[in-house]
Amino acid sequence: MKNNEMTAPLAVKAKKKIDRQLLGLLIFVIAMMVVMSFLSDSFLSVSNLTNVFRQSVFIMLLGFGMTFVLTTGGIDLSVGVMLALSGGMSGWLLSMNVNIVPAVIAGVLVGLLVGAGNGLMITKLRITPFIATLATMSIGRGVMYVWTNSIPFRNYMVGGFRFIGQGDIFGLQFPIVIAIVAFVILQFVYRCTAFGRHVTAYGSNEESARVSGINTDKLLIKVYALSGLMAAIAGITLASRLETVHPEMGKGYELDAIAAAIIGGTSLSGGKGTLVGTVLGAFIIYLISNALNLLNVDPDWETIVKGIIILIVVAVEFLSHRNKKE
Amino acid sequence: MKKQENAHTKKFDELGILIVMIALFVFLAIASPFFLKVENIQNLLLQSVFVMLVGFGMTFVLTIGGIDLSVGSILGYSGAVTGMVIAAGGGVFPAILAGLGTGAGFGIINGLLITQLKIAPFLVTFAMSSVVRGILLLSTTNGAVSGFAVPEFTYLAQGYIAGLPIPVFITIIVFVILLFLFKFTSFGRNVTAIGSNREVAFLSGVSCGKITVGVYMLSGLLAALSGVLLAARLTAVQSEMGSGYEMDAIAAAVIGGTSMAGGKGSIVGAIIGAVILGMISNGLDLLSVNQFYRQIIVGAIIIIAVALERFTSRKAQRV
Repeated sequence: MKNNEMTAPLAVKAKKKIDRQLLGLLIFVIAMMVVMSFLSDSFLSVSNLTNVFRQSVFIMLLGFGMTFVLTTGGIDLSVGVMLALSGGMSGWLLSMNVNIVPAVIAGVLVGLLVGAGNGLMITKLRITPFIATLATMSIGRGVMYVWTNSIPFRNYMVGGFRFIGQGDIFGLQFPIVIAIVAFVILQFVYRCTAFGRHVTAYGSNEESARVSGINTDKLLIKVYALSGLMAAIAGITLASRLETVHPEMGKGYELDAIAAAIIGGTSLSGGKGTLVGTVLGAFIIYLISNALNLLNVDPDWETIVKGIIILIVVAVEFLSHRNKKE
Repeated sequence: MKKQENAHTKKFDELGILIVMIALFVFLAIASPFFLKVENIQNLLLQSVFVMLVGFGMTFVLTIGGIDLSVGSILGYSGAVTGMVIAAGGGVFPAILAGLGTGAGFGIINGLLITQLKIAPFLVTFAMSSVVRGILLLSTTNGAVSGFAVPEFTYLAQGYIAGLPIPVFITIIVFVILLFLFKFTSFGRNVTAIGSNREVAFLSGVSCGKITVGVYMLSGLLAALSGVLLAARLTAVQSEMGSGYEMDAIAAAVIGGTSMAGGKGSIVGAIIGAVILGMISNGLDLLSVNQFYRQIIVGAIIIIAVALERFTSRKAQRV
């Protein structure tokens, strides 16, 4: 009870800060739209913006999982690889004429299992999340190369599978529908379930979460499995969209997913996260590359711009913290 | 207490890993008749030194409790800078200095961002690796950097001194300097002190900021040295040169007994680690196994090495 009273104002403060950050992001998006509408005719059209949103769906899905992981104070560098492994599994099974339902389920299972494996390494072997998932990333990418023999999987498209990445529901592209459904479910899980509160509690203070009787090992395994699950959903959707699974599929997505989450206001040190922010973060990343693209800037600039944006966002977060303390 | 534990586990780590290296050596010597040929051993050493140099820097960085993920990109770009300066007629010596300076410069930026803005090292260097790789991509838009293979420069990688390939020779010199720096100077002792307990080091008057910047500069410099030598060996710099080296360098250091948690590092261990990695790829080649298995093996080795280290240090704590 006493604990509640003490944390309540803190939580309110954190919430306020997130809201301010979201407001800042919205202002950024609007400002960018205004500027870009002068520079390019095609930027501010419904079709272009829908397109940007659809492109950002994959990073968004990874970012949702990443938001949970970052909130616990961990990190998951293996999401890009889990995406490739899951997409690869579904594509490979389909190309062997397996029915679409078991193929998709197998793909999802791959993500869940690899994610749970990360969680087990982190909790049972006590390896830091960073190293554990970095090693998974290396192993998984190696598996992709050995498995595909460097020849992309293709010729696996069947009607039902095509729908996942390319279909429409009520005029909305199906990947967007997947992202919306995932968002609604995860937002509920994050804000309104014991699991979500435990995730935040663990990230704020590991020791007190453990002492209050949360089974922290189980919690972490679930969080990393969730990250694997989201990567699997993104991977299967991407496999359907691209109609081919390249061994390099998803390479570098982990950076984008982390960027989406922290641009949105999720803290890297744990205890604070927002899925709405992650949606905005992922959208902004693709909005920037779309804008650079329309302005005919060399695509190689994208990596540089992205890296700098991450640094700025994190630095701003740090500086605002310090100012408050002073 | 901490010091005792370190001394205890350190001895064990280096001996254990030395046995692994010898076992692997014997296995390969039996499994493939080509392994013990002089050319193959020279080749094995030559392949290992590029990772080894980066691994030396990583050992310092890990010992201070940080991590440097930008070494692969820095390696690539520094090699490209050297190549571009030579191709533009700038001369070999200034070109090498420019390459090394580039690496040291990026290392200093890493260090300053980490110490001044207090951003987590992995994030700074992760972002930096993306920025530097982007710059390298921009400078190779019209194809790989090439046209710099003047004989004086390629001699750096293809010549021999006393039967040793020059890069191996250079690595030995660097090793001696770094070992001295790590073990016998106040800089080296301060690095270990900061890694063991930053607060205590700070309170005892160690200037943590300067030392940290110095460590990241050293890491960038060594990555650049490796990049310059690699450019001399490959005679062209592709946009992807050096990508993935950060993993190998971390693996080499961690296999060699350097702790990911800081406070404990071994330069000798980094050599053994890099040679083991080199033997794995050399062995896969000789036994004509797909090179892609290497990535899987390296990842698995990192997990095993870190878990073992955790296990042994936990045991030491309990005693």
